[in-house]
Amino acid sequence: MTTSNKRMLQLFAGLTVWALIVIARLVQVQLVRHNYYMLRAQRQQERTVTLAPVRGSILDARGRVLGESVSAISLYADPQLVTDRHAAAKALAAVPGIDLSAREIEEKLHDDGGFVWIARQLPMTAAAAVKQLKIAGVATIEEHRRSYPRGTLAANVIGYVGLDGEGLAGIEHSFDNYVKGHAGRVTILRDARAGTYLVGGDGPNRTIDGNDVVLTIDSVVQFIAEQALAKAVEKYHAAAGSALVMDPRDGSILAMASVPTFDPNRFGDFPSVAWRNRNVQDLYEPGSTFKIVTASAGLEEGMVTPSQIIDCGNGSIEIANVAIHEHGHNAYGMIPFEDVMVHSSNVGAIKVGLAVGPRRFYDYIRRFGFGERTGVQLPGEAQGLVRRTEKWSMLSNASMSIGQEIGVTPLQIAQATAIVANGGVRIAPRIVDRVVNAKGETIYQPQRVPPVRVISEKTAAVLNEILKAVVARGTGLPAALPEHVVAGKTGTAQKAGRGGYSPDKFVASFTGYVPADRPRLVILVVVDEPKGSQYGGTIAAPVFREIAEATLRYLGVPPSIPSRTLDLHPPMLAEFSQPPAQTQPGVPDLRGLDARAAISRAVAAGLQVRAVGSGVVQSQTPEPGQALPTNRLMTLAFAEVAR
Amino acid sequence: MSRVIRDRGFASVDFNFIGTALLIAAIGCLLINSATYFTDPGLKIFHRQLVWMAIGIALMVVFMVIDYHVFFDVAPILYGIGNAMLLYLLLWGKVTAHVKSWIHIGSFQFQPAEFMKVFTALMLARFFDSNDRAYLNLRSFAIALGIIGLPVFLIFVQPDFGTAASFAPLVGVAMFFGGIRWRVWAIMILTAIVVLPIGYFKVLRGYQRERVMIFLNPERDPLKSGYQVTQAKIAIGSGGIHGKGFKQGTQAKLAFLPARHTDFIFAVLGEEWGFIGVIIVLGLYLFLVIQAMTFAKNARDRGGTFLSICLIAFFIFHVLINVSMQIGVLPTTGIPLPLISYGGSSTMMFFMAIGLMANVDMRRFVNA
Repeated sequence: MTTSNKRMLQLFAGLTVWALIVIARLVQVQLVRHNYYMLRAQRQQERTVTLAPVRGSILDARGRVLGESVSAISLYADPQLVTDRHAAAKALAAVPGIDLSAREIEEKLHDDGGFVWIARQLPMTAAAAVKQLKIAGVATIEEHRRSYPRGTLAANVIGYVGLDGEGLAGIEHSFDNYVKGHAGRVTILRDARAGTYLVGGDGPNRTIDGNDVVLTIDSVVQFIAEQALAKAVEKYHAAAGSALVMDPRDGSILAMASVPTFDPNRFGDFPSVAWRNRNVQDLYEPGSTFKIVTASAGLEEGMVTPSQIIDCGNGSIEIANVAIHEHGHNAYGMIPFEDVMVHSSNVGAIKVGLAVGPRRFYDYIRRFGFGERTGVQLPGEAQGLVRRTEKWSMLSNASMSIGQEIGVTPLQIAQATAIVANGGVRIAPRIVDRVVNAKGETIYQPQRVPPVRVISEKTAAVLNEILKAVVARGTGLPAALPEHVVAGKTGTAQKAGRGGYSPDKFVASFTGYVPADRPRLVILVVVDEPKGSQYGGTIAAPVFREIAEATLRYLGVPPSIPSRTLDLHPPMLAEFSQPPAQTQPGVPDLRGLDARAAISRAVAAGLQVRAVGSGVVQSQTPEPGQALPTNRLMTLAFAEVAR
Repeated sequence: MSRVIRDRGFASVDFNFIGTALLIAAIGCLLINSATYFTDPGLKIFHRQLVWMAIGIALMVVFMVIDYHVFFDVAPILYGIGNAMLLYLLLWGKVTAHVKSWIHIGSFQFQPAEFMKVFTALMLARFFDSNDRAYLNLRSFAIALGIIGLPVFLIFVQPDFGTAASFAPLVGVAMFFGGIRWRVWAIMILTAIVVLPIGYFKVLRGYQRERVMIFLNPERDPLKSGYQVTQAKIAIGSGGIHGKGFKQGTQAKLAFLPARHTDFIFAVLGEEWGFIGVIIVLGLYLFLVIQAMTFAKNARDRGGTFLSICLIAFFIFHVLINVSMQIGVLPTTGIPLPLISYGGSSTMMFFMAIGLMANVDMRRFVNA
């Protein structure tokens, strides 16, 4: 058996070598290259898919939907599983709703990875068509598409959402964390036949839908403001515009309009400049609207009273060798301070501003909220440009008195206007009312900044009278409403460009509130670079009027001037004027009436008539509007009128 | 038939050996359960394997209790029946997966080729029992090759290359244990050089040649056998040192692994039990081998020695080939892992082999 044993030994030596090779290989595969094979196993088996939550809605103050998420279908492929890429691409390109050529799709299918999007957020109808094609390696996943049912309405406030569901601008951006919800994570285990098993999706991986953001914006007011603003911008071929409607009582912003605007449903089709929310992102020099601050400081500091006569001279004032002129080269001479505001005299405002002095003036500017963000929860809010007094030039005090050398946002001007409307108290503007979850519970409410007194109630009341006069008989006349007393201030600012102020580029604005004695609305209108005219009174004040009139009617604010019936139709006027006797004080105006009508009116007013001549009433004694004479006798002089 | 009685009862049974075999089979059942529960929620495969195991254990007892010399006596009959079944398959067998290797009896089916391994080993051992020279002469070597060659040929033309190749250990045993001279080696090598190319180009058809090529180079067919090896390597490699745990093997569960409960069950072992589990199982096999070698050494006669060696050679060969192909050391072929892979015929065959080896051990005492 020895030879046999020897041969056995040889045999077993061979087998041992083989066994050692096997062991060595096992060590290599299982121990040395473990990580590599682990990764390969995971790569072919697992795909962690985030289950996108349904993004919350953005609602207006009355629960109307401004932005919401709707179901859509997205198409993806595992290129490694697509057997005939050319045929697959061709078939997919033919599906209605997929706006891609077969060549483009085929290119995507040549991706080396295990996952590639073919088309995102297609209408649901495309899903059925794709499923019917039954292409191996091509699958659909339900996603959500952001929809803004009201199109451009409040677009600059709402912002927009990118393809991957993140808010990129506006409320969508600043409240992204509340709106986006919590994405669930599911591991898709894939088997060799490309069947899938879902694992996970519980606990911290649970999908939680987003919350709804309720804005203070009222869609109707927003619509009114946008329409009125757009009309003016178009009419004057302006470069841009913005309009703000705010409730001064609590700072709620009811409307915030920007022109140009965009449709957030397809924001990519618009230039980025159209995405801006000019009301908070853009700075401009306010011009004469800023005289509200100048006046406040002057009045509060006792530097001036409304009736105090100011010498506005011959229409220009020289500061540090620079002559500053009145608008339109007017010369107002000696006028009371109220009229300085009514006519928007630069010379008068500068004199008041200089009297206040840099230190105190700067203080007022800051207390009015300029040079700092209002804190409204919109992204990209500018803080404005207010230089500290140390950096002021010899000219600065004068310039700032008339709203130059200072950069403000429209929202800051509206906030400043609201201070006067509120009797001297500053209330921070707000645009987000609350955030509610799916159950309707409020989960977040922006903190309200406590109101800050900026000027005394008395100063505010005086200023109120002045601003009413601006509208009643001054530059703001076109803002006047028939049923409500309006207070406001115009602004016509030359735009600063390279090397000084541009001679033909202006910012026309009007800021005001209504009804003046119990303000419900603060409205600011800014029109940038209007053509054909430049005055805030001409361009912006009518927009104010339009917004104010429609909004007050929408809100059901009762007329604050009940007797005024100018807007009524003539037949109604006639009916209304039938029993006028007691209601109309003083002597009626009978001029132009024929004898019959004149006498009947006079009798109705309780007067006796002595007539002279024939025809229509030429003149009357006593004059119209005078108190009824004690003898109740009236003399009418008639004259024939050439027909 | 008097030999039947010539044993010392169960007291002389090597329970370490039997126990090790049963332990390996039990591990096999666990792995089959783990490999199939996900895709076969009714656990039909698992339950069927339990039945195979029960039958296998019964056969093991039968092949252990009856003196192996009795099996030498009936070996020609068993060998003849086996070849007849293989022939029957060739003539009337149903083609399953390109191969005629299954005999169907009612809902039952089995592979005669598996049983043929034991029968051929018995036949060969019976032949060597009467041949006690140091070297085989050409004639007796030719007879030995003939005994092996007949079933191998019948299996090869099924065509089931893997199973045919698994008879190779018998040839090896014949050559090394029987002993052949230089001249015979030379003739064999020359014959191989002449015959193989002729066989390859003239006898085999195109698709068969392709299968041979894939056998030699799996990368030719990355979606089938190449894919299998890749997936098996990923499974084993991702198992690492500790493995992913019982039923945690994602490769197997998610059906990336083909034939995961049959030929590629070792990959499931590697994935779920890790390097440690692999070493333990290979250690159990090694223990079987050492035991069987002891049996062979202590066997009462040359036939017993030879029988033990033939059978344990099957074990060694199956384990090494099977493991080698899963880690890319050897090309893929359909060879089961002894006592672990799912399958009625192979389970029964390996239990029969265990029984016969224990049989040889039980009857090692000449004067019993």
